[in-house]
Amino acid sequence: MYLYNCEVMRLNTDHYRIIIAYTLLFSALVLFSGLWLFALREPWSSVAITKSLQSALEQIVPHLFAMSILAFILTHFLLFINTVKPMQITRTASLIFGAILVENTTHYLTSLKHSYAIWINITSLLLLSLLMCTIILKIALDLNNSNQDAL
Amino acid sequence: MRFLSTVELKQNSALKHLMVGVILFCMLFFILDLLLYHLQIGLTFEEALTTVLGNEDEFIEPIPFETLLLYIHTNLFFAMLTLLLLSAISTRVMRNSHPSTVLLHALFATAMLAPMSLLFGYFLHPLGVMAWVVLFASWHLIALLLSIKCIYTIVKL
Repeated sequence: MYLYNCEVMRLNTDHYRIIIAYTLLFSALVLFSGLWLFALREPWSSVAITKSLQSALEQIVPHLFAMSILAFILTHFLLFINTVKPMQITRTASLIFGAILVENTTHYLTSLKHSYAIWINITSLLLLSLLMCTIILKIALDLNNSNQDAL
Repeated sequence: MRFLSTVELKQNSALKHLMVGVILFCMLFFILDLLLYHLQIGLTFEEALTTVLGNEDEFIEPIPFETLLLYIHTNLFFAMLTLLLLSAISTRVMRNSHPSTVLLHALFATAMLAPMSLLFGYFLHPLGVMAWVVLFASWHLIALLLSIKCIYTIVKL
């Protein structure tokens, strides 16, 4: 992992590695607890389409901010990895932000009683989780390799 | 446009003020978060045990699992954001030393273990709820300590 910027060079890169490692763990826990909550609410059941606009918005509003900031934090760590090309980062980020948008839009659609939206919602959430897990693993592996190089 | 405003923090009073401002708000968040959880779950062993596991003698129901998981989910997210911000500033302004590395580990580890101990307490053993009280209060206090240390270092520059 290559932490660039002129002033950063003289600073403690070990501390940055620690921060990144813990942030990855936190991200994984946030993702896991979110999926657990999602499963508890049984989105595939008929109850899901009886959702009101208010309850849909109660879910959409905090998640639009939280999911996008989490996606930004994770994808910006990819910028520090030499082997990942800018085009790959752009594609991954586009996919993640796209999945976030679809996931949140389908909450609104279920409030309009569109039952098919439930399955789009589940698919987009799975895609989002898969992408985030892949990024977490990629950064963790690179962090581990750079730690071994430093030793 | 300069994307990197300065090499030396000493020469940039605007950036120093910005950093102090954001740390002050983080401190306010840590204090009010303690207060919020004191009211929601309770930060004494007795209160926390009663809220999380209920009390048969007083006919108090345990907290619904979905509510508890929602607390954990939001707490993890906000802890991650604030600690990422605070630790990034502390790494930027403070010198590399063994105590600061230990403090950083302690901060993140306690913040991460706190919600897990709450789950442990809910499902397996009441000791987990007590551990949550200790860990939750600890990470907030360590964060406050680190915030004060950061502000002191920035002001002294």
